[in-house]
Amino acid sequence: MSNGYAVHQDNFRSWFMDKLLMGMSWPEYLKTLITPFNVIAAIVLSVGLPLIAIRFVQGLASVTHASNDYPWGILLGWGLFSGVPLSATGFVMATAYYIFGFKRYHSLVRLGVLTGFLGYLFAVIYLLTDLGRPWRIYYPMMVGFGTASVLFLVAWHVATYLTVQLLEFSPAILEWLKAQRVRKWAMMITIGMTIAGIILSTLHQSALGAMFLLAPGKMHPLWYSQYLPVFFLSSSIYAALAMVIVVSTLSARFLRDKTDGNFLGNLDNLTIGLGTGASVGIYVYFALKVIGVAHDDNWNLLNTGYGHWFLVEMLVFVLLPGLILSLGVKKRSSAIVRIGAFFAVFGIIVNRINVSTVAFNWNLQDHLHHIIPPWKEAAIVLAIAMLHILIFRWILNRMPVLREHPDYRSSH
Amino acid sequence: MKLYDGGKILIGLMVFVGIATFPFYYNIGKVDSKPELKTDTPAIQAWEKQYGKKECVESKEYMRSEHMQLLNNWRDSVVRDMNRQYVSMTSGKKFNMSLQNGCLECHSNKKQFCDQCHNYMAVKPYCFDCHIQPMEKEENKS
Amino acid sequence: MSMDRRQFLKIAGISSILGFGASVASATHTIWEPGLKPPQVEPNPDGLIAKRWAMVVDMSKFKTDEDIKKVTTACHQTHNVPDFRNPDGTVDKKFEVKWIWEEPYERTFPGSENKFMSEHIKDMPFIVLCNHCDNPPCVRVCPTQATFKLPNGITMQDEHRCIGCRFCMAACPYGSRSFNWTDPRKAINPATENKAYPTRTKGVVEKCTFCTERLQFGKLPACVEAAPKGAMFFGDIEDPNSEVRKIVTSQLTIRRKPELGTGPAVYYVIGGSDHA
Repeated sequence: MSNGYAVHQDNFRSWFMDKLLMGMSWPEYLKTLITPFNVIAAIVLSVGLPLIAIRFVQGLASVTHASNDYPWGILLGWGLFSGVPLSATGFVMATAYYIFGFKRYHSLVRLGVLTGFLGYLFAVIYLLTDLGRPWRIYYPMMVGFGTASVLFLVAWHVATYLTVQLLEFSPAILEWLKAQRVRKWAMMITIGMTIAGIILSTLHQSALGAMFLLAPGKMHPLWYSQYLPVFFLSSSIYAALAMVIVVSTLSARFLRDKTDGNFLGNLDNLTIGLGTGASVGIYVYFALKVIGVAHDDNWNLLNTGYGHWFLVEMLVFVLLPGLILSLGVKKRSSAIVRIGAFFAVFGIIVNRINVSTVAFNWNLQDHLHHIIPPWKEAAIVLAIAMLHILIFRWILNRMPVLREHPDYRSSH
Repeated sequence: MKLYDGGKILIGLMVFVGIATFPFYYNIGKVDSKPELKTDTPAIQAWEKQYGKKECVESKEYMRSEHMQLLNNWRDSVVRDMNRQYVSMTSGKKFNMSLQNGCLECHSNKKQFCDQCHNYMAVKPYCFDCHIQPMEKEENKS
Repeated sequence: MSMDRRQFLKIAGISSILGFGASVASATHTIWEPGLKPPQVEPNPDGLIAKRWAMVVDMSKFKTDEDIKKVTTACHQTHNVPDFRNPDGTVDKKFEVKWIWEEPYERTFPGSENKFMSEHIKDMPFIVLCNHCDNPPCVRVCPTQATFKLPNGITMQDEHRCIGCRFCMAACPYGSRSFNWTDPRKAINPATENKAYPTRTKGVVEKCTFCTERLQFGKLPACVEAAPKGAMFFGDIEDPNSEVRKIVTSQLTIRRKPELGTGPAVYYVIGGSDHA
């Protein structure tokens, strides 16, 4: 009824294009797209997307070299088992901010939630690429309830948590679209969603570890432990803190014009704060892992080939990033903390791939030869990861994530 | 009243109409007649001789509208409950619940029977991805 | 956004109910509700019934490779199991689908070999198949109950419901499950195809079903029928008069990887005298 509404409707088309093209005209917008990174992205996608099409037409065997002995490959080892802990960012940041009252992390909460949401979304996309009959993905929800299965739990949780995270992130979308009234509603449910998120994510982070408990005969004893769910949960927490540092560092570096003074001004300080948390998390996790080895009395296995690799994982990819983080915190150097965080994130990926592929089926002949993914599978993983980055950037470019929307600055 | 951006709107409208009517012209010439089901296979004729009439596990009307649900239930009953025999609500006769060894035993003319309606309605049941269809003689070109 | 403590607790309470609700909703849901119930449906009156089906395989009765091949071929032809071959005629291990197959001793009974055991046993092939465990890991991990236990002990596979996640294959310690990595019909010979049994399709997991479909018509499993006399027995192990029970009670039998606690229902006689 108001005048503004009429004007709005009149200019709907231009308003919408304005949103999509960030206020530029088509030629201007297209010109901004020609960057070295986008050229690389185009190459990666032009190789990977056709391979995904081939996979769906001709079956999984056409692109992976999984076999009946090796049911899972890098698509899940990377996409699901590494992707989910690195997406704990949403739950960790929202909990810290809304529940524990760490108000100074305000400028990083939305970034954390977005990283988490997209991370889960893409975990599902990797899973869809890997399922034999992907269009049946809703079966655990509608058709057959395999209630004893941890995968059933993971499926339900990922589905509900994806919805929860979308709702958690919705204020940013609504601010972008200037939908003020709906945004008010969305803000009201934030706390509720955060608490639902805590319950859901702690359960399924550990459930992912529990998935490997079912194959005691196939896992290398150094990686197999009845504490696997605890390992997965505890490492996901420091993974999330380190991941927020990584994502915020990259955003500040490559999308500086989308940030505001509040974000940039606080970033170094907050990075050190997050680094403190992450290093504590790493030490806790490291201690738990030592207890795991001690509990199963696997010390003698450390001096074997797999044992050496286990030591590399523990010392180089867990303890070392922790020490680097501590050093950075002590010297109050955000640069050192960042190095530690990148290292820690890499370490998480190493661990999850170790559990899901290196330690799994270790006693089969020629095992190590089997776990190297064929180039087609790697190209598919790369293409999906590239899509992930592009969508992430698309959102950061448009929605108020790294900056506060001027209309809502005082409303938090 | 002046139409702003008239050209663009017209092009947009044309594209829209084109997409919206796609199903119509996509199917032009594909289906020109109503489905005609043939129930004159040797097995059905033998049945007719024995029982004096053509009949399926349930009435024709029921089968026409409910056979999908019935088959779903049969599938679950056989695979999950080990109940293999179906007692007809219509005739009380007992039937072996099986697509390949039951339904298609009588309806050995899948092309003249199943496919007639399925093609007409443009549905593609995935049953035959696994269940083997009966061998059918190539139709005479007449 | 500001809220007082009371409000916070209210929302916190509601959302934890919602969160937990999602995770326990399944537990309260009726797990399996058949669409057709007796008396509308009934078991086939000719069907064989048992409290617990089990199998005994006497390896000493398999004298030649032919004997074993007969058994595996009988099963694979009955069930339209695809036979993927490399160009040189050897089995294509990547696509291979197997319901019943051969394994060497050290893969059949790992951990029980010793330095001094007879070369003959060490080198001979063993017939292996799904063990239809009492406590099957595959059933525990299936998110859709596509694989499940029948009351007669058979671990059944419902390909209609399989989503192809392959968790069951990761969990099965015996390698008894095969995934259809590509369309299986490419590797089924139409001449020997069993028109009375379905094939499978791309993207589902399959395995031995103890010939559930044959038992329902009063027939023994195809492998048992094709085996040399006295080499394979099938029956109700809970029935004290059944052949399988008598053998298991009177002789030393071993099962595959019993230490895992899965409770296999396939028993092996390795050396041995005549019996039954």
